[in-house]
Amino acid sequence: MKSWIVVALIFFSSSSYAYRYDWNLKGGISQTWADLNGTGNTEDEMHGTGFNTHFGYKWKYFELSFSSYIYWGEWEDLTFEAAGETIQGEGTFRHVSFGPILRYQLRGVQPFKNWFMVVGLGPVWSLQTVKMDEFTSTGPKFNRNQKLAFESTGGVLSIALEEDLPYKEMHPVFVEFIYSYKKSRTLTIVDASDFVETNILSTEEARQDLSGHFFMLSIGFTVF
Amino acid sequence: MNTFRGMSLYQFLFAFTTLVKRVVVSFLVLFTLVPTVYGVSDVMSEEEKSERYKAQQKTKKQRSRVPEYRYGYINRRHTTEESLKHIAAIYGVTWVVYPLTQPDVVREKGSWKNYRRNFGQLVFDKDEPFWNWFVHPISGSQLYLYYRANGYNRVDSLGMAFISSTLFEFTVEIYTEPASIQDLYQTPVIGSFLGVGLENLSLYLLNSGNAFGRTLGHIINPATLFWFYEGKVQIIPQTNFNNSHGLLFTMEF
Repeated sequence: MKSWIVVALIFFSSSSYAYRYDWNLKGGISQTWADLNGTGNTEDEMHGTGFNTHFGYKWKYFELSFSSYIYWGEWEDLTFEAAGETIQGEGTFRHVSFGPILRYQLRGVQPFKNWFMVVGLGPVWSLQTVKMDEFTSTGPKFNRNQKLAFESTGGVLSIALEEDLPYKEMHPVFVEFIYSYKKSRTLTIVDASDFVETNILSTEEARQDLSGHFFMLSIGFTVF
Repeated sequence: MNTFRGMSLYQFLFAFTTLVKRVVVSFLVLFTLVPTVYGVSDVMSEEEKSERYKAQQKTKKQRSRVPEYRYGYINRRHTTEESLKHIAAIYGVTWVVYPLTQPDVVREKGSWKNYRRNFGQLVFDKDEPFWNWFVHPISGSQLYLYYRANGYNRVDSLGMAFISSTLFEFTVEIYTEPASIQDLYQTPVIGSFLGVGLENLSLYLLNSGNAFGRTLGHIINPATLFWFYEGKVQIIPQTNFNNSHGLLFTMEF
């Protein structure tokens, strides 16, 4: 009799896998810490708050999602080069990134009941918009009504713990730790004096400006 | 310790309480539910039935806040032809809505020369957060709610919103500016995220049974006002105060 109970328990427990072969939309909130490298080996730490969304398809253990991370932050002292001028000071920072991330669920790593480890990897394209509040500039061109927009490329590595529930309507939760490295490619100076209309003043190659290591902690759930 | 037919005390108490529960439930079923279905109407006179009917009509008039309709969403399959019609309809609307909502931008920056130059281009736009994180997600949420109102499930609504917004980005908005990476992603994805919230909130308000709630529900989810909305149903209890009772179910589509 006992053996039948054991067999029944194994049978029913093994049928409670999470949803498979289906599209999903996930979202969450995040905290970001970054070490930013500006011009001339200047460094600063940045802290940001934001949210992220992921739309993707889940196979049995693999999942490919298009992910976006958005956050706002600020730093105290960093140096940039723009329009032939060296700009140093403090300001606010707006970050948006997009990229496909391939994730794989490690079935062997289950630290808690129904929670499994998921690892992910992918390229990332991002735009970091910098608005200077207090700054000094070596030339007359850059002023308070302008903002700097850095287009960067890089990569993302993620390690997550995700709930494995039978239905996505049960809104499985995930906790994700993300490391990414980004390096700016182009720098655009934008006239931000008009709230409605954006005027691009110049675009140049950014070379080494605003590269950095980004560490993010994100918590979210499957919406549908 | 064996107490009764080889059972322990705990097993005996469990069996006894189960038996008591079954007896109580059986009595309840026999003396409450059965007479209401089979017995009462037979003993009522015609006069009593008439009085009860009048009382019910009076109560119905007094309780004017009883919701007339039930709002919800249905998920159904669509043919390719039907989906193409929806995409074409929304595409046509965007050609009208874009110049109407942003006449200054279209007048100052728009030209067919720009259209040819921007065709096929994809850039990071440098717009203010108001546009990228407010206007576009709001537009995306309304696209999502349009397709939900037409019977698409949530994932399909996001997919259809993605097709519609991509067509807008690559073939309409390029009259003034190149297609934007942020808009391509954020309009359908963050829009659907927002749309789910608006969907749930609007259903709560629309089914609240008061005019203020209904009005607010229609404002945040305008697709529920139009003829194409498939989730508006009417459920009316029906009775002849004899042995026939039922629900009249009416759905608009």
